[in-house]
Order: sequence, then structure tokens, then C-alpha cells
Amino acid sequence: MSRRIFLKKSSCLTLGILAYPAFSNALFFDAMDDVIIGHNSHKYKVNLNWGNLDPLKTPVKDCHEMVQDSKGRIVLLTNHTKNNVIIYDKSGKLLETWGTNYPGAHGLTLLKENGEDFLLITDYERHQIIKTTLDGKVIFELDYPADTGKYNSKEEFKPTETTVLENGDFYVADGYGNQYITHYNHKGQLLNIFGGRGTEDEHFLNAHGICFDNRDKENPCLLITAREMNILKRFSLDGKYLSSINVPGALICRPVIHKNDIYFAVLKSKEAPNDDSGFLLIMNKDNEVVSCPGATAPSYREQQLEDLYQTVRLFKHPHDVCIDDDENLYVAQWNSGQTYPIKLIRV
Amino acid sequence: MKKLLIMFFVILMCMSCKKDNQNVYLQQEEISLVQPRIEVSNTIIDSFVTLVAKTGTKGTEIYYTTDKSEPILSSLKYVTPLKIFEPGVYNFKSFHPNWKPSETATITFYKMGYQPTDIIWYTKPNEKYKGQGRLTLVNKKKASLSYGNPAWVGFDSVAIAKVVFNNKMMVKNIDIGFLCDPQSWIFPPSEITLYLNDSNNNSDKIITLVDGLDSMVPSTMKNINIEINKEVNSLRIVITNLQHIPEWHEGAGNKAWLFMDEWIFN
Repeated sequence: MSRRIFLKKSSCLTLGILAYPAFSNALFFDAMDDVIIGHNSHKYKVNLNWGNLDPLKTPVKDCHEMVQDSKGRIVLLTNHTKNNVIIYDKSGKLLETWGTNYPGAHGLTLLKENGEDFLLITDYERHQIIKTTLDGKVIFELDYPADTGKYNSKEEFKPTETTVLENGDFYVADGYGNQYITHYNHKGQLLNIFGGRGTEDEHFLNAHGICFDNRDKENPCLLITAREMNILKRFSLDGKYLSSINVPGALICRPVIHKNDIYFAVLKSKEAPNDDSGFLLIMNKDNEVVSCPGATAPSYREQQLEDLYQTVRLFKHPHDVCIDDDENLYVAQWNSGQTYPIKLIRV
Repeated sequence: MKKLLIMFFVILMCMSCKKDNQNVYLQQEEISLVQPRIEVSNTIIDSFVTLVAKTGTKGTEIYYTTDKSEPILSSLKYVTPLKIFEPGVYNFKSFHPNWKPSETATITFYKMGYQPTDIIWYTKPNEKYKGQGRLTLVNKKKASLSYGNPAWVGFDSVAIAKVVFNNKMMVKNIDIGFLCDPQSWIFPPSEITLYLNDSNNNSDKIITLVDGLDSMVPSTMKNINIEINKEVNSLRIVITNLQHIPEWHEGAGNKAWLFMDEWIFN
């Protein structure tokens, strides 16, 4: 090692660490070239290297959904049956993998029972919802709701998402099937079914995501995406339609509530020249769109949100977003050329 | 002097640390802008049409050409909406000091053609993409780039129709517009056959083979112009969708979709 390099390296370890944060923005113009996406309160830098693994050892197909568990680990669900579940730490280091029999692994929801974490996985190829422990032990498998009379065969049931209430009740959205929302108690016994395919308020086209919204403790409700219609619909817990929030141009995948905001991956822009035209979308506590990383800045004219669309070719088909305890985001993508998730650092 | 020297070294050290830190984040010059959004009142010109080009990124400038060449920074700059009187090919491209330039957005304008009195369909489009009735392909309204646009008529099998004119008239050529969107399994047709005056005589038959795709290309609206130069009062048009998606595509071996709009008779 030459003296000059040695000097540089050792100085980084000592003086540099102290000096860097204070002077970096003032002194270095190259900081301007970092991509910063998003608007208003929610802006992010982009780390494409996060979580990249050896595709021969730990491959992914579509990265469908991600959650953070109680230990702070990032859990990814992919439909690659070599390792359906990939668990990372927040730095992107691989911790663990499991799962080889979830060919249609799609929806991933974390639930807690008596201090222990569990996962609810929806598999649209197995036509099932599967509850597992965090290390992959199966607790139960739930088949299609035959007793409701809404399904002729299991093939019509292609569940995409679940959400869990505080009492353990859970709901399943059949976003690739007959578009019903089914409500179960914690044991998996059917309590209610509503929705179905159609264009009326109480119906869905592509009921892709569902989320329990208890931000207003007095009036908890369900948020359900009608992805093909670019609408987020609010329903009461007993399945009555309440209201619609239009997001023109945005094929929103599933709502994810973090603190007072709702985050969405947007699979694609409705009218885009390129199919891989996705972005992210963030709503505030009043369900107003405040930031669209990778897309046009949200703007309202006469209280109507203007058409949103991708502006830079960063995201391919974002399918889910996970927000960690540092307010950073992880973006799982569908049909993106088997890429690993992208991490966004809040700035 | 000694103080100054120390200061200089501190700055140098910061720079070297900084480089390592910076590499983590994506840089603007690695990412392209999305091509400009083009909105037009129509692409078939009666007197004139209006064109608006948009980009959602601050600091972006749009340049365009009308001679089919790629727009560059010395091309015409788009400032306000354009009034377009003449048919032709217009190319638009977004540029920004930091981001990579966009791909080129191409839009073609056509002169209003002869209006057929009727179309008789012998095959049906797919139930989901049946356009706006049997006259969709001659309603003087071109579809937009999105395959969900109701002006498109989508087929998953061969499309056969007879176009009827009021009188026998000289038709120089026909424009057949189609969507090319391989990501959505929508490919150009493989073959187009025109039977003049609905006859089966070989002399009244025009067969055109259409070039396929050899790689994934962004979604574009394409047009094929077929010379006729004969007097006709009807035309039977047979358009075959691609029967086997090529090997390089995820849908290899399957039938491709055929999305059309619009047919213009000149």
C-alpha cells in the first residue's frame, strides 16, 4: 500500500467520519446527482444494490410482497419455489430462506398472537390461504369458501391478499378470482362474504389488496383496492360500502398503513407508452395523495386528483411496499426480470 | 499556513470518504426520462388538429422533428400546443440536464380518407376488446397507446371483414393501423390479404406479409400502407394474427393478440 493510499484510508476512519456529515452538502456538488424521488413530506434516495443475492443460490421470480417482523427483519415473498420466503436484515444481508411449495405465493401479511409473529400467505395457484410461523411451520391451510355458493370450483378462487383485525378475525381479497371479500374468525371459520365482480360501488374489478384501517379508532374500516378501476374503496367491517377514493391513472396494488399514512405500490400507469410504468403513491391521514415517487407530482383541481403517470424509468412493475421502523421503504416488483427488492432511504 | 494545509487535508479526506458513500445511491445519469405524453384532438386531419406534449419532470425540455429523424437539442423546441394542418410523422423527445433523454414518442397524422358506407364482419373480436361497434375501424378516431382504450379492436384469431363503398371509386391505397406492444403479447399481424370487389380471382387479390419483431420493443402504434390503385366498390380484408409468438418472448409458441385501429382508404 502506497503512503498516499494509506493516508487516505486511515483518514477516512478517523477525521473523515467526523467531518463528512457536517460539510458534505456544502462542499460537494456531486451530491446533486443522487436520484431523489417523491414529493412534499415523502422524498427518497434509491439503493438498487440492497438485497441483491446470487440468483443461482437464492433466486426470485416475481417479488410479490414484503413485511417487517417484530425483530425488525424484512420478510420477502416470491413465487420462486426454490425459496418462497427470503428473510433479510435491514442492511440487505440474507438471514434465512424457506418454502418450496407456494407456486402462486402472492399475499403476505404479518399477524401477532400472544406476542408471537405469524404469516398469512395467499397462494392463487393452490387456491388457498396458509398460516405459518416465521420459520415456515404450517398452522392451517384454508380452501375456497365452497359453502357460500359463490364459487363453482376451487379454480375460481385466486386469493391475492389478507388483512387481520386486532381480535384475530381476518379478511381475504380474491383479486384474481371472483372478486369476493371473505371474512373469517381467527380459527378460519367463515363469518361473511361481500363484494364480487362488477362496476357498482360495492363491487370490484381486481380486488387486489385489502387493509384494516384503524387510524380513526372510533370508525375503523377496511380499505380495498379495485386495481383495474384505479379506485381505493372503503368498507365497514361488516362489508357495507362506505366511500371511494379515486386515484386516476394509478393501478394501486395493496394499501399499507404505516403510522398515519397509506403507502401503495402502483403496478403501472394506466395510459403509458411502456408497460413497465409503475411508481409509488403515498396518502396522508386525510387520504389525500401527497407524494408519488417515480411519477408526476400529485395535484388537485376542484378537489379532483389529476391523472398520475410515471415520469422516470426507474420502477418496472412495483407490486408492494414495506415501510421499516426508520421510515425507509422496500419495493418488491413483479415481472421485472427477476430483480431483488429496491430500498428507498427517506431524506 | 499550517492551518490552511490542515484544512486542505480535511477536505481531501472528506472527498475520498464521500466517494465510497455515494456509490450506494442511484445517480440521475443512470435513469431515463419517460417519453413525452402526447395528447391530440385527432390523428386524422379534416382541417387541422391540436397537439399537446407533456412531461412530468421539472426542468425537462421537449424537442421534436417532422422529417422522421430523431429529435436532438438543435431540433424544434416544443413551447406551446401545436396546430397541425399537414399529415406526416412527428417525433418528440424529452431532454434534461441530469437525467438520460427519453425514448422517442412518434405520432403519425393522416389525411381524412374515403368513408365506407358499411363494414360486414365475418369474424368477431375478443369479447373484452370489441371497440365501439362494428364501425370502430372507420370512425375517423384513432386509438391511443393504451390497449385498454376503447378505440382498439382486439382479436385473438383471424379478422375477416368486407368494406362497402357507396359507388365504385379509385382507391390508391389503404392504411391499416395496429398496436405493437409485445409486453402485453400484442404483435403485428403476420399477413394481410385484400380481395378487391370481394372477388376470388387471383388478379384481384393483394397479399402483404408483415415483418415480425425480433426483440422486446416499447409499445408503439404502427401503420402499414398497401398500394391498390384500382377502382373498387368493396374490399374483403383478411388479417391474420401472429400464430406463434417467437422464441425470445415469454409467450413463445402461443398465439399473439392483434389490436387494430384505424383503416383509412385514400
